[in-house]
Amino acid sequence: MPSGDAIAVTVVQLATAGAALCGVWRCRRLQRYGSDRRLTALAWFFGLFAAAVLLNVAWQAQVGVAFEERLGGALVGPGPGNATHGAPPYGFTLFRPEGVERANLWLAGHHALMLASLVVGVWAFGTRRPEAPAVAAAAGFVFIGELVPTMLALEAGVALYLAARAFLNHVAVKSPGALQAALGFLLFFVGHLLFSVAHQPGMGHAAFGDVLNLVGIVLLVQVLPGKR
Amino acid sequence: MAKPYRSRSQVVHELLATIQSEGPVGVTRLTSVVNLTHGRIQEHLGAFEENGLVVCAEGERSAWTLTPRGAQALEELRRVDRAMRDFGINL
Repeated sequence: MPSGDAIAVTVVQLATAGAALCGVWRCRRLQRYGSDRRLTALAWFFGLFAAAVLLNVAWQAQVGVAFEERLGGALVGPGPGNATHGAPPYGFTLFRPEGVERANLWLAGHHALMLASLVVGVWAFGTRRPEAPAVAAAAGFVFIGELVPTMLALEAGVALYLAARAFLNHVAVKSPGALQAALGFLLFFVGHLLFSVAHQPGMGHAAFGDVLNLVGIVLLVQVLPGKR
Repeated sequence: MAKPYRSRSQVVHELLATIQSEGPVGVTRLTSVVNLTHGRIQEHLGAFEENGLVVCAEGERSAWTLTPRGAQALEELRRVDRAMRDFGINL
C-alpha cells in the first residue's frame, strides 16, 4: 500500500493539475465571442503546466518506493511471454528509470513540458526567447538525468522572471487582480525554487513546493473572470 | 494610421463598446471608429444580430443599438481585458 505521505503528495499534484485545467477551460470559455491570442497563450501556459504535473505524478508513481510494487507493472505492462513470474520490471526501455536520477520518458516529458509552459508564459509577457525546451528529448535518459538539476534551476529562473514581471505589472497597474497575479507567480517561483534547492536525485518534488504551486496556480486561475 | 494587431475578441469589444456609447449608430460611423472596412463591419453586425447582441431600429438598416445580452457580452469582454491587464499580457 502507498504511504499516507505519497498519497497526500499525489493528491496535491492532481489538484494542481486540476486547477490548471480549470484555467484552460476558463480561457476557452472566455473566447466564445471571438478568439483572443492573449487568452490562447494563457490557456497554453495552464495546459502545458497541467500536462507537466500529470507526467510528474506518473513518474513519481512509477519510481516512488511506496508505489513501485503497486504501479510498476500497471504502468508499463508485462513484456511478451513473461506475464507471470520472472518478468523484467519494465517492458519498454523508454519507461525504464535510468541512472541516479531515475530518469525516463515521464521525467523527461515533465521537464520539457514544464519549461515549455514557462517559455509560453515568458512569451505572453512580451519577451521572446529562443528557448528549445524539448531539444534534449532525443538524448539518452541517463544524459537527461544529469540535466535534471539544471532543468530545475532553469525552471526556477524562468519562474523568477515571471514573478518579477508580474510584480512590475502590479506596480504599474495597481489593481487587486494584478496583486493576485503577482502573488500567484511569486508562490509559483518559490515552489519551483524549493524543487530546485531541495532536489534529491531520483526522488520526487519537495511536498511543500507542490502546495505552493497549487496555491499559486489557484490564485492565477482566479484572476480570470468566472461565470456570472 | 493602421491600428496594431487586434484579436477578433478585441474587435468585437471595440464594436460593442462603440454601439453602446454612441448607439443608435450607423455602419459608416462604426467604420471610422473601429477602423474596419464596411464589409467587415457588416459581417460582424450580422453575426451579432444572429446571436441577439444588437438590434437594428425598425425600418432603418443603419441604426444599431445594443441589446441587454449584448451589454452582458460587452461587460464580459471588459472583464477579460481587465484580467489581461492584471496579468500584464499585451499580445
